[in-house]
Amino acid sequence: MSRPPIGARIQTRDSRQVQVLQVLGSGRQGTVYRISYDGQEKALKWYHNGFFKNEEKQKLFYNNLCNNIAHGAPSPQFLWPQDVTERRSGSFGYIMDLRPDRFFDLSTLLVGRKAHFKSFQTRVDAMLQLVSAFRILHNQGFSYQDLNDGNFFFDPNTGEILICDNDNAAYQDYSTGIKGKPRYMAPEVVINQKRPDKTTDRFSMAVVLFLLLLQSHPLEGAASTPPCMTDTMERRFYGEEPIFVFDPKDPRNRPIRGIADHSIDIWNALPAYLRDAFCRSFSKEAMTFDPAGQSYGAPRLIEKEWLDVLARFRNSIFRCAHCPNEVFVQALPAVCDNCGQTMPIVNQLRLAKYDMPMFPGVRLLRCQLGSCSDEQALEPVFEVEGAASAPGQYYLTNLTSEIWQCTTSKGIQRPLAPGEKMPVKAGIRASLLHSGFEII
Amino acid sequence: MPISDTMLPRRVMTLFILIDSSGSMTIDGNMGKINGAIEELIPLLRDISDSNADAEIRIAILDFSTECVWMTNGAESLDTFVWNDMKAGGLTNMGAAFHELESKLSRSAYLESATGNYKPVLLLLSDGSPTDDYKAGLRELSHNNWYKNAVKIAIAVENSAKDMLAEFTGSTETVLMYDKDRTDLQKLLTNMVIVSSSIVSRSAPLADEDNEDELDDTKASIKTAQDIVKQVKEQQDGKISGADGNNTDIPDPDAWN
Repeated sequence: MSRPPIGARIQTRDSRQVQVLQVLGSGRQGTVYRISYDGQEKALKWYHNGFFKNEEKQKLFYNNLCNNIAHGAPSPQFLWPQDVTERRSGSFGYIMDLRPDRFFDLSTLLVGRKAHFKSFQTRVDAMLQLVSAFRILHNQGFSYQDLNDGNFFFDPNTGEILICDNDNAAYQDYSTGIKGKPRYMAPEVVINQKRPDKTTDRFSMAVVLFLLLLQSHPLEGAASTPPCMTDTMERRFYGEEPIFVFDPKDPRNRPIRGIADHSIDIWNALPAYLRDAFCRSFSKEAMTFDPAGQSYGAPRLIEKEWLDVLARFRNSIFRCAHCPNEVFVQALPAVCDNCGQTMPIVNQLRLAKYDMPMFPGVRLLRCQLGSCSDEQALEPVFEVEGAASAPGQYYLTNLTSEIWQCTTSKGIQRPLAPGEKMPVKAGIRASLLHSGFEII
Repeated sequence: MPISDTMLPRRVMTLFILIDSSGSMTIDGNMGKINGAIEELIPLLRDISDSNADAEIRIAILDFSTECVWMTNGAESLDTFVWNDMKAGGLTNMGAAFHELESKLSRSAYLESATGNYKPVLLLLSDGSPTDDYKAGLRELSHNNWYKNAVKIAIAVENSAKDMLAEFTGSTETVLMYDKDRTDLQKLLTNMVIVSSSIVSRSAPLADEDNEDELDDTKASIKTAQDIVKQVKEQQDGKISGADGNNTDIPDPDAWN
């Protein structure tokens, strides 16, 4: 027989009580329920009997799940297995927190019909969350192995992420038996040269980042849109001969005009350092794996590199006050590319590697100041605000727990305590967190 | 970066459903169940399509008896599709239906798409006993590349139809028998359509070590069709839940205390 009916009482592996309350959804792998678990409401994913090919595979999966539970969630962004049930009627399930209603799956958000991201800035915040979560996961020794648009949930208003289906996350590249999903699998996995691991995860992550920002697929263009996508063609376009749509050396697979114009427009508006990051991730070399030498033609971007690029980009997106356009500010003076108005941005922040425009909404992230632990990367250092009563005059708040040592343009020392504000004014320098910045 | 409403470019997955509306389909109220299934499928499929970043789902439904009539306006989007009930009566001119299907399986007919197509899914629902030269229709289809690559499945409303329908799908394993004592035709058709429309985007398992060479395209389509039928059978047998998440069997409460 089969899965638990509503009202069923199940025990966990260590004899806690679970009661099944409601079906939340069902898929190929299993059914997800709302349950009561030790008096709290949680979710239970119960595997269908048909999901495991044989007893041995089921045992391996179960063991991996128990290991993941023992390890604990890498970060709060992961909806992680917390407990596992007893085996019943040939199967079992795992318990996790419920997902709040404000989160939508990425697939739905990409289609954009039922729900969509509020703005470019929110998309980039979502990209930062995704990259940060994967940096944490990989640094703790896991690979995700089945990175695709069904596993991520975002709040489209804030960009917050919740990563689900963590039963495929595997420690030390232990194989859970899953290959991946077409369009997201790394080419070397598509053609069975390699099993999923951290490096193949990075390819899939880059695909998701491209989809989020450019709103089309990085490998789908004029040369990879046959009338009918057969399995042979799928292997060719996503495995044997993938061509990045914006490959600077190979123009054969450009996005198709008439259906992907928005992608072309967005690409052309992006700053060079971000286009370069995508070009490196999807270069022919980075997509070519040599099984004999167990090496790639070129390295794929690691999460830290994405964080640097995306944090910088996020802090260059300015909302024009005259029209609802988001301007990608690259140099000053900045002009809105929709209405032509000059943006009221005067000052920049001089960091070690680049200058960053300063305007309301800019949120300096910890990772922009240099090395920090992966959990700290997205912590805000300051946020710039403006006051309606004094247009054009901006100020920022110390959002860290450290006192900054600041120096004014006249050389006067002024400490800035946590929570205190200071004006955005040229000449001010600040020392903080073993790093610093200058306002110019 | 000014941006107007943009749609994510998606390949199209067209689901063709060929429905036998001959006189014998009035038995057991089957025609009514089929009408009910299709009507209720529209919002379900729209929801699936709106949550699927890989594929936009379109539907084309052919009503065949003595004559054949397309119930949809070409391969229609779920946004515009409105169902008008079919009425049962007449013969089972399946050959004519195959001929009509063949004429529409073309880029210049129902498979026109600037974003390209996934393999279409062809679902044939019938109680068998064709009254015309259905083999001639099948011969025509056999030369059509879309048909060759398509995922072909069937629901046999009568046991006796199984072998005949397997000539269309390519194998008896891709024909699902409707057992009225175990399930409801409306639920069966619904599950078959829901599973078929979800099949295009799902994670694949690693190939086994002792393995599975890559299948050629036609065999791959047969395998997909077998997976669909298997999954629907499992739902029917109560092993996994159906489209609405509810079990079709009554579970044994004692096994769950």
